[in-house]
Amino acid sequence: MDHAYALSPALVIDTSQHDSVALNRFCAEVRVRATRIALIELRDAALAADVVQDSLLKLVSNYKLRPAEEWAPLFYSILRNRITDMHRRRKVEKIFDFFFSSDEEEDQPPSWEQIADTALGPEQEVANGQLAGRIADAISALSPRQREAFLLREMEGLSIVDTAAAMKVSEGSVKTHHMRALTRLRELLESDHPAKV
Amino acid sequence: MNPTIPLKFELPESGDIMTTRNHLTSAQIDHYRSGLASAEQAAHIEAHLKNCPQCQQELQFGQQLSQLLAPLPQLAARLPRRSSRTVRWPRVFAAGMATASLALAVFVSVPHLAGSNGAYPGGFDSQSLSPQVADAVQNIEFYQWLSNHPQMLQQGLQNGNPA
Repeated sequence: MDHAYALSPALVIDTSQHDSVALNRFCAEVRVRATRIALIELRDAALAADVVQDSLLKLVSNYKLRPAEEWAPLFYSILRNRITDMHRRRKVEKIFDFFFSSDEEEDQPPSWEQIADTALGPEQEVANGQLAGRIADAISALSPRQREAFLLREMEGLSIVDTAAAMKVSEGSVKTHHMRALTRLRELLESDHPAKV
Repeated sequence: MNPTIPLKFELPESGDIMTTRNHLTSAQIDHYRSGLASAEQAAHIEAHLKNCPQCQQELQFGQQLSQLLAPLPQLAARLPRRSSRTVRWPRVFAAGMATASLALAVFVSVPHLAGSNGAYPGGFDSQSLSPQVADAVQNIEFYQWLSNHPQMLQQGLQNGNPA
């Protein structure tokens, strides 16, 4: 019995360490892509970084004991909720805009492509930036559901089942939104087809 | 399908009716990629994809777009920074004054609107009450006294003088 008691805590620690390493790796990998998603949705570098950090913290604090294969859908579900919260907050801020002033009275934020056009640097880098800008604008032009389905399926490589869990919709709906997103993106980027660039 | 193209040219050797000119269309590829294709269609498409690098490339369309988004954080660094929101005090003050004056106007006008003859709204109006109630209201002290002296009520009833 002594032997068993001596062994079990060591095993527990070992398992949790193994899990935390895997979780750390997951977080590091997912952060880069999740930041891109948040940037497309929020168009604010600081806010996007905050939202991703916040979602990762929640995943680690609440769901670290869940099996590793559940982390991705859980994380994207959390991230999605955070982004929706931010959109809501902006709507409320807009209502009270009458009482607040900002230095630049922009009615329409610049498109990604316009931002890319102002860049200076090596020619290839500028060209890559411009292409990324056009793609980001095209993805922004999709409906929110189409955009989510596209980003989760193509950028994150989530399965249909996981995407459906993260988006809280049916699998059929994921497939349809994904298909429409691809069709629309092809239309929008006809002249920028990556195969021809 | 374009009717000017001979039918036998449209059908590849595998008999895949979904292909034209030996290549899958982007619509077919997207249909397959999104998981909407039936098992039979998927099998045909997979058979074609095995030997067609061009269609394989087309299948990667979405993934390629995602990879090309890599410079996005660098672009985001050039986004106009949202300046901190500062309160416009004159507007806040003006709105406060407008609310206060509206509240004052309501406070002043309500009594005038409610009672046209200046009576307290909800108060007794002797003309609108029935005679019994008006009598009770006027002689409330007597009736209170009477309720405390039931023997007097009894005596009055015996004398044929109800109340």
